Amino acid sequence: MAVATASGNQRQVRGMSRQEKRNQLLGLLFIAPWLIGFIGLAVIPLGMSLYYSLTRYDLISAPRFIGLGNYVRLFTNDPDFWKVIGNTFYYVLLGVPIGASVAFLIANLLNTDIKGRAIFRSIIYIPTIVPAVCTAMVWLFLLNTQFGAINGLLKAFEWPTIPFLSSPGLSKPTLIMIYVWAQGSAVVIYLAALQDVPRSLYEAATVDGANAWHKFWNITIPLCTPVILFNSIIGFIGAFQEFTLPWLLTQGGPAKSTELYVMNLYRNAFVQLSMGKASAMAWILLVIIVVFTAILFSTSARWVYYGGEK
Amino acid sequence: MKTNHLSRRQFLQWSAMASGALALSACAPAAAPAGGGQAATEGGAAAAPATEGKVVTYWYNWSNLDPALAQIIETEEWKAHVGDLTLDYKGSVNDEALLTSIAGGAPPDCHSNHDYPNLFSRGAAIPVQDMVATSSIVKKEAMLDWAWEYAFFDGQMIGVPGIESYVQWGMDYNTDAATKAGLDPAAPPTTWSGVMEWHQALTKKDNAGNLLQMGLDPGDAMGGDVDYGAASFGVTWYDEKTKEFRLDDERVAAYLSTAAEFIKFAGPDQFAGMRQVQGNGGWGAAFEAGVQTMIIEGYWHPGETMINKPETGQFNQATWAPQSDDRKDVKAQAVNAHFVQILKEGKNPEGSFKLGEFFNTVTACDIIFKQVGWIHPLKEFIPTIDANTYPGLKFYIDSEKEATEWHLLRRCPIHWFVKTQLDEIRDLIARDQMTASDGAAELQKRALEEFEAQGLAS
Repeated sequence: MAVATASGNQRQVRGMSRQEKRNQLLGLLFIAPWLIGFIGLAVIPLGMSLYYSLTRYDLISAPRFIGLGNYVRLFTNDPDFWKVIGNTFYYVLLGVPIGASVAFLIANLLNTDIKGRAIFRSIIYIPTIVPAVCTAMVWLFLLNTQFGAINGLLKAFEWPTIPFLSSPGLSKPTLIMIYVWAQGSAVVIYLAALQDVPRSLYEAATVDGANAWHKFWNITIPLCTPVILFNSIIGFIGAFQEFTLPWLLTQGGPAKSTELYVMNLYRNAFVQLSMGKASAMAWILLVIIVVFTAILFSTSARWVYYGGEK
Repeated sequence: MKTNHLSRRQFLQWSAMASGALALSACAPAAAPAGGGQAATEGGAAAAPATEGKVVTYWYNWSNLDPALAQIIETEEWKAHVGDLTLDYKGSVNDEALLTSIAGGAPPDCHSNHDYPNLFSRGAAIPVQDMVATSSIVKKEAMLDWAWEYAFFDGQMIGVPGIESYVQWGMDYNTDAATKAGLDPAAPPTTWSGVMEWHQALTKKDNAGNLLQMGLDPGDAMGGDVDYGAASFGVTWYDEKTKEFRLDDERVAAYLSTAAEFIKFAGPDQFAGMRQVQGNGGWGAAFEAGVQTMIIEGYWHPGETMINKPETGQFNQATWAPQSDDRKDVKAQAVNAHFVQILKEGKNPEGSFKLGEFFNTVTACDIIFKQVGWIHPLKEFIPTIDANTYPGLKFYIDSEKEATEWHLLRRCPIHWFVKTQLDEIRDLIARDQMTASDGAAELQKRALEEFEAQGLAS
């Protein structure tokens, strides 16, 4: 087969040789298990979810096509939608930045040459590997208004207890506190980034008269910005989908103050038998997360330093 | 000399083919195991069935039935009734798990304690009147009338009545706590204002205002159910025949206001804290722990409390569930039967029916009563019950004859949606974020919209 080039000359383009075709087939065979899994467990469910979002579907009877009815209802008529959006944005917009900042500061502390550093690092990482149910039980044991350990101490002094999880005003900040407590994996990632920062830069800064704060602000943070970006994106994605801990701790109460988006989605799907509406909620959440991620990426050029050529 | 060796490329090719073959073989259907299966271990599912059709899978949303079933399947009567049928039972199965199995096309054969009318009205369960008509065990004349009538929905029999079905409303109270609070346990209140006085006396706080003990949690157990709340003020909030909602009735607003006062007295945050300890909705836990001294529950309460926590159960007594002051002479009672509901996609409807039938025998009723504290209103069984078996049970047994007003519970397909909205609205009213009349109007609005959104209005 001949094709024309930009200079007007024709050059011969040959098809794949037998060996190349064989290699390609072999390659496909190698990735086949993953491909089958991806199509069967991701693409098809995604497509079905999109379809269900356009239907009235109760998991039992056949779905009935209603077009954009679920989306319209969510945005205009749902008693809980805007409340859970508000709760979730509160949780995400406060929790993720605070979590990232605290994790970064802890990583900096763990990066110093102190005795027992390995033990501290292990302790910081433990919350990440503790199962969510155990975490919930422990926090309930600590924070419950009547029988929690913290309030037990307050009661012993005849002081008023603190309704950490039973006051609408305190319940979300308490959830954020628990979220920040579980940032062990982010700390580990920051630690790796900190250890990649060239020592020569700190030495040069010292020679120039920089103090610890100058070094932290002008060397450490800029050189860790790629990892900060990564952790922020992962953090936002995870926080938007938070479910387990609030479900176990508060079931969305008191007064739906801790009813997050995915919890409400779950209720719609399995309690109210509105799988169609729940699917629509899932797609709306996807759009929200994509928009957030896009904003982070598009603004990253201004504050992320990549070191090499742009 | 030619050396035979495997090149890296060949090794990778052979490995890939072997992995692919392994993956394909793992996808093949499993062969049926040899031999018959036998009954379950406590709290778990039974062994794999011998052949399809000889096993009936039964899921239920209770956590305490397992010991009773384990005993039932060991009886000679059961073996004679079912022959070589194996019962594969699983407890603590919540609605989500059952729904997912139905959606996935692999449901159990039958279930109990899930949303019966909802599942039936959406076509997930089969009517059983034809099977019942040929049964020598399940008969209308063998059980109390209301237990039979309750099994019908939209003119069809939606399940085999036979398990945990007796009177549903009573106010249980801790006599020891009442005495210590200066109240007369022999003269319990039966109106909302009377119960409020007891609530105020029984709710204890320390010097710093921290809640130590509470009287009544109006959101707990049967008391928190929309059926009871509305009925206690004389309102039937949903008409099964006309599909009409009456949640915006001023008397529903009166109920919301009254319930909110209980929460306000103890403190909304304190209340919420107490409820979180009992698992955010687990019934009776706070009463068993002794921190809640009154509870509106059903006949099962005395038995379950005595079995789970005898130290508290020994002080239990029961009286009529409170009514509004203008209904002080009304003795209201309710029924809410449980069934063995046979699922349409189940493989063994006949086996499921046999299970439901057996629950209608005195043998099964006796075991369940002793192991769990539950009653099925079999005429042959009721007279054998010693009403003094569990403290407080006598009220429930006598109430069945003395009640002047009867209610059928949970007949609305969106009952549980309305219940969750009620919980939220009651809390908002208690926190002065909403008035009671606005709350009732909002409840009505949400119910109507949800009913229509689910396609149930037509």
